[in-house]
Amino acid sequence: MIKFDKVTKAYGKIAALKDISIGIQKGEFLSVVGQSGAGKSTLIKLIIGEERPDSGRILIDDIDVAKIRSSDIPYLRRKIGVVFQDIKLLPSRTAFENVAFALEVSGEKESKIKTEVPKILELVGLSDKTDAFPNEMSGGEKQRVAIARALAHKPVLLLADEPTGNLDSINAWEIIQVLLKINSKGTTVVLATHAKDLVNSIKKRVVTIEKGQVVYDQEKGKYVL
Amino acid sequence: MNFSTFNRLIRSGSTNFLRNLGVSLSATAIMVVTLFIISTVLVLYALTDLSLNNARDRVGISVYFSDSASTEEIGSAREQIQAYPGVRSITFTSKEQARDRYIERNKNRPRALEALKELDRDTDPFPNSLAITADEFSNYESIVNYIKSDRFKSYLLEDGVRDNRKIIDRLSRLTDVVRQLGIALTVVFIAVTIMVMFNTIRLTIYNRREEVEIMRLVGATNWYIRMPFIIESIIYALLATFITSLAMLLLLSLTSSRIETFLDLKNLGGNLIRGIFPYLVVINLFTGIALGVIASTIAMRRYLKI
Repeated sequence: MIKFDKVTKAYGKIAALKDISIGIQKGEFLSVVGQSGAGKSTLIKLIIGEERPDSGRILIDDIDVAKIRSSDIPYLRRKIGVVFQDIKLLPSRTAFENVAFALEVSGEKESKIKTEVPKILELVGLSDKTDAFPNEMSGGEKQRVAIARALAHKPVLLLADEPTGNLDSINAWEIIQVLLKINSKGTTVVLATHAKDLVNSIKKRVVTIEKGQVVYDQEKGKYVL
Repeated sequence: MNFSTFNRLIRSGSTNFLRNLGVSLSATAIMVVTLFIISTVLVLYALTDLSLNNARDRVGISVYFSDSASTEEIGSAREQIQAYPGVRSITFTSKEQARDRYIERNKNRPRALEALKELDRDTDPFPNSLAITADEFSNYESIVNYIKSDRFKSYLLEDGVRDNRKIIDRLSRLTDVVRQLGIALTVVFIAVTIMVMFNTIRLTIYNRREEVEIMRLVGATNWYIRMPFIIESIIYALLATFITSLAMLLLLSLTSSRIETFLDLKNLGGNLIRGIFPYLVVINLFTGIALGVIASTIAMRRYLKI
């Protein structure tokens, strides 16, 4: 479903990714691990079209993201949900409204938003926090709202860039459980992280990146660095 | 675009306007000043132009006869001038008519009537006269020369041909000044308005940078992200047009009768407002929206990374 084909990306003279080739199957749960600066975030930015590779192809369902027109990027992003370490919720909106926001910008009707959003919030286990504002929620709850927002368009792919980076271990573990649950319902998940214990507990495929290159790619892998 | 989206964009644009009310109102205020200046210049230009045409129509050449000219001689002169090419109309005013007209016009000014009595003692201040207008403004030259020729000399008072084109010259110079000054002022204030609006929209973009970033992440189109800023600038334009039009309406209705008297334009009162005001509203609206959209587009190009 996603294919990185000899992808290279440099920022000035600093090479972020060097000649990377990875294939990700539909319905897979893939952890991308590596130290800070190894190139994990660049990988994710390339998938959502935020950055363009210097060379190589990035295919998502046979569409080459490297060559996509700027005006088509919004539609690509409705197929891909993204979650970040810094969460990025709108502080003036409730959990419900933050999730609804994603549907509003793509022109969904109010009636659909009213039926869809509660279902998504239930999926991430936040049915009781519908009307809470971000400052009334814990870090883990906020991140779950962000995951719910990323799922609003029913994406085929969910990207999570260090989603547990700011969370304590219990909250982090909860987030991973939510991601696994989403994956079990058929959504492909790519998790970029440097949290060793979490990755080891997942027991799914792990790709290890070091200095912009893939050094390990293991089924049911472990964080070995 | 469905109704929900339309609603959301309008709401979002209004929120932009309301969230920084102070800044929004000052942007509106500067736009009101600019639209007001443009409106005033247009009204002044229309009025000077109108009175210029009016003057061209009415004041042409006045010919004053000496008392020695008989009624027949005056009649013959009139016929000859009438036959001269380029003459459109010719009106005879007798001494008595001239006197009556003077008295009528000055009936509320006892001093002017007093002066008339003084003059009456030793002279006769009102000669018989002809008022001549030409088909074309350019015809006056030859008509004046024709009347000044020896043919009529014996009937006329010394300096009996008064060429009123000087008044017209002066009026048309005034029209030019109004136009040039108006254009200069308009250009300056349009530039100032665009700068102020640009800064206002830039501030809104800065305030909404988080929201814009999230919009991009969840797949909002560029159009959807930009629209609220354009709507915000259109709100300034609508509000500014409304305020300016109200002010102009007030100003016009308060001054139209005085303007009429001053510029000697008859029966313009209703016409001035009815004839000019709707155009002013339309011009203000288009100018305002154009300025707003230009300013917000420049601001978005520079500060809204999409």
